[in-house]
Amino acid sequence: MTTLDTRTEIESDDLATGGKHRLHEPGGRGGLIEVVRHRTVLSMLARRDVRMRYRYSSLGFAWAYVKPTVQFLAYYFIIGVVLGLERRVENFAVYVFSGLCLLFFFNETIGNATRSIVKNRAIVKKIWLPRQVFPIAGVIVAASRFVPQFLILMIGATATGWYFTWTGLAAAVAGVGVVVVWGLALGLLLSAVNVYLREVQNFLELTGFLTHWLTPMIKPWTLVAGRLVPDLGLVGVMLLTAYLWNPLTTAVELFHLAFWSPTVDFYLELSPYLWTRAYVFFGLGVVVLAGSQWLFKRLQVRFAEEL
Amino acid sequence: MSSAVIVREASKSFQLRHDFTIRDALANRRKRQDPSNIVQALEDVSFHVDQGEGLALMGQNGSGKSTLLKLISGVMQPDSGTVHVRGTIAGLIDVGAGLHPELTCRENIYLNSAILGMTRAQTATNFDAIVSFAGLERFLDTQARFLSSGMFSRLGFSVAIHTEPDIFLVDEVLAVGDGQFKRKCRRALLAQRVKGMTLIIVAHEVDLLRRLCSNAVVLDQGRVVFQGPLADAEKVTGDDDDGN
Repeated sequence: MTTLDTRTEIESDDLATGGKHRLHEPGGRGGLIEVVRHRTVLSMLARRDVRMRYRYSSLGFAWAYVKPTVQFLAYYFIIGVVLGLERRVENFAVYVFSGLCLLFFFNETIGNATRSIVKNRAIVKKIWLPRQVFPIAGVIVAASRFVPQFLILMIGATATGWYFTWTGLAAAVAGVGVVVVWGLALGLLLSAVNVYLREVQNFLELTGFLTHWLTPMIKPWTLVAGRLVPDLGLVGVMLLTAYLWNPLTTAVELFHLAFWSPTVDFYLELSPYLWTRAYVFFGLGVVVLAGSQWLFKRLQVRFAEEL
Repeated sequence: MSSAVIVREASKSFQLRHDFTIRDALANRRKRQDPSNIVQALEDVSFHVDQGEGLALMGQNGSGKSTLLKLISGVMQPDSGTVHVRGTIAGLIDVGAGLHPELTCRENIYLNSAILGMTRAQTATNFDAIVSFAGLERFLDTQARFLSSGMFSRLGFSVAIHTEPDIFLVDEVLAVGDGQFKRKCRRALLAQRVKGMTLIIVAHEVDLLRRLCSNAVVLDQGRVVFQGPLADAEKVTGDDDDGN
């Protein structure tokens, strides 16, 4: 317990030793690479959340299907049968469900990730871990719910005449890719912001609902264009551009291309420049992800005292 | 002997915040500058701990002991000054931190070990030792919420000590658990110290501190008021349980 010039010691220490037994600042620098080193805890946290969610329900994991099933049936019967969209869109069930399960994945990702830091505050406040493990575990949990829904989609599509094409495979991969990269980017950012402003998590219900109506999940883009452009003129064109040129519309249409198009005789309903948009929004998503990681890194410094 | 922990002129203040919604934030804009809303938790703290040393952190409630442990564990970063450590750290700042009441003891052991940086294989190797140390063989498949608070902390302590960290931070967790378990913990901590583990412990039981630590740092309102041999620290703090 003597006083000493610590600076001299740190400098001489760095020269003398290396590796694990070097003096270093505790905790991490907030980089994503630390998450890779902590992959054990990442997978265990994801597993815990999957297990926890339905532990007390007799239906167990089946609950994971209740919400998408009810939503699907509502859209199918009300929009499809009652309002008659089913007569204008061939194989309407697969059209709706392919978009629905992808949007469900997206909204689930954002929701899990956004709440993750606050939910795990007991750990965040007391033990250092790379904080990104919590939102990323949320993405993995969302993926675990997406996989069975995806299998149902495959069964439904196959039963109505779906067949394999390489284009379809590429479109499916691109659709999931766009959703994952944007879901992770926004989830990471919102999880950090939610620590400072808890209000964020309340917006999610609303935005989740909006994603269903502001993408061609229920109605083909041609119907939207047919109303917007003649009625609103230039404003309509601008709205239509915003409607088409966004990552979620792109992802939904990619899934239509992958799973719905092969089951129908004509598929003019798919929006133009789809592949261009797929490249643009995947690339842009990577840029936004880098940006939100940069912000997360700065915001996480004060997590322990804000929680 | 090289240092395991070096804290140099570290300061940390907290802003008391009441605005968790946008409305509050707008309403409280002016209060943000109000100096009465800022708490200086640590001011210009400097000390170092040698490898293998046992250090007692003493001081009244609110003197900054827990904040200091959080800076050392990396959970918080100092506003100014630096903190450096050597080797791995297990922070037992709160025994319950990594434990999930809804998971079984078995699941908790794996999860909590992972949180403290162990791989699955390492935990599997230590599993029996962890269980027998905690004395929870009968409760392996019981949810942690059915455990008594003593058992709960036994589980937390057992997992943490079996990660064999280079630096072990303990914050008043030994206050729980029965006398027999406390002795067990003390023996385990001593055994690890013999192997070269550095220990930094916050506790009010002078008797316990005397067995585990040779040196002490005494904090008062965020400042170091004493550092030196534990025996002398007891004179400063008045040698009673509250440290008054």
